[in-house]
Amino acid sequence: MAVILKRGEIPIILFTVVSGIILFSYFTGLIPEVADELIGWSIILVSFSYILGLVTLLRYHLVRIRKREKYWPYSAILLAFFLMFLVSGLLGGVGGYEGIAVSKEFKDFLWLHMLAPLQTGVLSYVGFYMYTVFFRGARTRSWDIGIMLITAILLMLYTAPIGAAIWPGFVPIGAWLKDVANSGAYRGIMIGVGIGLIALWLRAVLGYEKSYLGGGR
Amino acid sequence: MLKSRNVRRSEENMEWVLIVEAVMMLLIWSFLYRESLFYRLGEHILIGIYLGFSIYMGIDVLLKRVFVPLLSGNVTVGLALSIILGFLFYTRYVKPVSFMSRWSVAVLTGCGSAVAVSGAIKAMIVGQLPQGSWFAEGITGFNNFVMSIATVFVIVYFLFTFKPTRLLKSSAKFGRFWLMICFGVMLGTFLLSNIGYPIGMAMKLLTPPALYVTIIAILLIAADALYRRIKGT
Amino acid sequence: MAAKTELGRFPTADRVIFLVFLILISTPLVVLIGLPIPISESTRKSYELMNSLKSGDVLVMCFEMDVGAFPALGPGDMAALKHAFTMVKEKGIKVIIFGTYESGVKIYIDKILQETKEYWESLNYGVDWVNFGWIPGHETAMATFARDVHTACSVDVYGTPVDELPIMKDIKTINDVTGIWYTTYSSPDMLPRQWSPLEWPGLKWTICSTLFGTVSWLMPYVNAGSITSYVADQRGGAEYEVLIGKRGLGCKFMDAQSLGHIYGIALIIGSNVYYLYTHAKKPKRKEE
Repeated sequence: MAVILKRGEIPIILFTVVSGIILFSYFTGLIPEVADELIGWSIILVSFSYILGLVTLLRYHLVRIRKREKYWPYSAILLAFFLMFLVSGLLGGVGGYEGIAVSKEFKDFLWLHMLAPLQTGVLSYVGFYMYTVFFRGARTRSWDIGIMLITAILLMLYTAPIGAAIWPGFVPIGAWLKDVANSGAYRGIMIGVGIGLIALWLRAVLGYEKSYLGGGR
Repeated sequence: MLKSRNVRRSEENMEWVLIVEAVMMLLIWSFLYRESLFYRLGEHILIGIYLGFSIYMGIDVLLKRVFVPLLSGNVTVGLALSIILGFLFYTRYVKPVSFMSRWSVAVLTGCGSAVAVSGAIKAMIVGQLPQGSWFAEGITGFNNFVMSIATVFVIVYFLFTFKPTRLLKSSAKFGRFWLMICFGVMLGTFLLSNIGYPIGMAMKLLTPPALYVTIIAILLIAADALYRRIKGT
Repeated sequence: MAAKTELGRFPTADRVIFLVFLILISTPLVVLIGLPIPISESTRKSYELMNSLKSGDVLVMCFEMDVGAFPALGPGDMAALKHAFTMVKEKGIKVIIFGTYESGVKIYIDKILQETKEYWESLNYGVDWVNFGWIPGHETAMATFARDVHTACSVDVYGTPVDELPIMKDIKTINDVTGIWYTTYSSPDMLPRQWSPLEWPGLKWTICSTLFGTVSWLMPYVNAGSITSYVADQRGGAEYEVLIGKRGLGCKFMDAQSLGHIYGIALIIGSNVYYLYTHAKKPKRKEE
């Protein structure tokens, strides 16, 4: 019995049955309550899975501290802030239950005034790197890259208010490129992506795609 | 009685809070000068708080949606099954029964992919096929014609199933032309999105009291640069 | 121009580029330039759709956001919230707020509510508007909301069961919702897949507030009617602020955006001129 349960086909069968029921309900309109129930399960399963990946990260940092590896104090700082937030959050109220007001205030402080600026800082890197791309990478080596760069410049003049101030013609040109030329091309990409999604689902149903299960048996 | 609203004591008038925010932003931005212990400190604080926050939110949702209904006796067969599947996730840490965690992953992925595929067929494929009339009034007809041409030739570009004949190759080249316009539009429009963050941060850093922290940071960087120049590193 | 890199720092040229960029975007924040902000068609249409809501209509505001992305889409969302809460007072519409993306969406919702506090303070929570915080599951949560609102939104952000919220009494499926304001800083695909007015007859329109870089991704859906209109990034947010007559953060950022864009164009042109100049100078190899 245990050998049967361990077989790799069982998750594939589960995947197929669950997705099959939802798709069947969607296209035929039959058994909607079963499909809705299954979709509702995913909300609960996501909440359980959330804690999962974080356990791995915790283990990694605890090992680093125990073995006193290079830069281990940073792992200690990481764990300290992790515990500070978790404890203050749980004491401050969780699951609809009221907690200690001071604890909640501290949790909110960590949230809004430490996490948020750090996140924005990380997100802002892309803006800086774009300029190094313009400096090093945006060279017209062939006709197609030239078209791309000219289009990019026209769109930059369209998106920034100063473009309209320099020459009002940039607005209709940019709008046409964005709404017409780009739309057409994007439709083609989107159709390809949609077909790719279906193909990937079929591969998973047929058992060729197992990466979502952990890449193997 | 309903709880009134999402109250939080406004902290905007507490200057030290703004200073802490400025310090956090500058810790992360110090990487633009060079990697240092300041940057690593900011990086690890970020990951630590986010870790704590993610676990907290997971516990919060589980309490509200699973354990409170469970304890109050509102248990349906569906809820019970989903709870069992949820706990099966954690069997991955118990080697003899770790295979059971894949069942939960399979159910979750099955739901997600079915929902995505059903939406994809309607919105991403069928919804994109109808094209406007080429003979519509004014510029609309011309625009519809351009969009149709672009769509067809971009699809041809991605056709790898057939042997590349001369016609297919030149069609693919024309499709590539449209793709380049598409990427140019993306590049041009991407800039506005991505420089929005540094602009938002710069605004905060230039407002007192954060401005004083910024000035100190600039002086520290200048001193470090001068020191390294003198030392020859 | 090959870049020499050392471990742990950017090349000097890159650091100079960053510094010039920082100086350029900081200048308008200190010295006001005040360039006019032309209103785009999409933002105007979005404003008119929001304004078309009547007494008893239900507006859903769904934020697939993290608080770190606040500078980009926050101004637009705050303007929309101010508009929505003003309409609650003046016209008696109902507003439902939540997010389904990551757990961080709850912080984002808290932040924008905090910034617009004066607009909802006097309203009746649970009757005029409600906040469900984070509903986990992303696309599956959206699918559940469309089919069975009470299952998706079983408790609000304070833990109040949905059956105890008067505003939710007559809202069972997405067909009971008039319009949706959907903000995302990632993929906008989920909105037309799960909440398309073409598929749900009761749903009149959807507006997608997204990054400018994602607009090109969005256009096919807008052309097909799966998304009714959109508001693009900080620029769209600034335009929306102008339309509702309450200039704020978005308008302030636009001058800095303009200088940032001019700098980007100058770098592209400059590097190409340099490249063509050095390319032309190289002796051409004679083909044998």
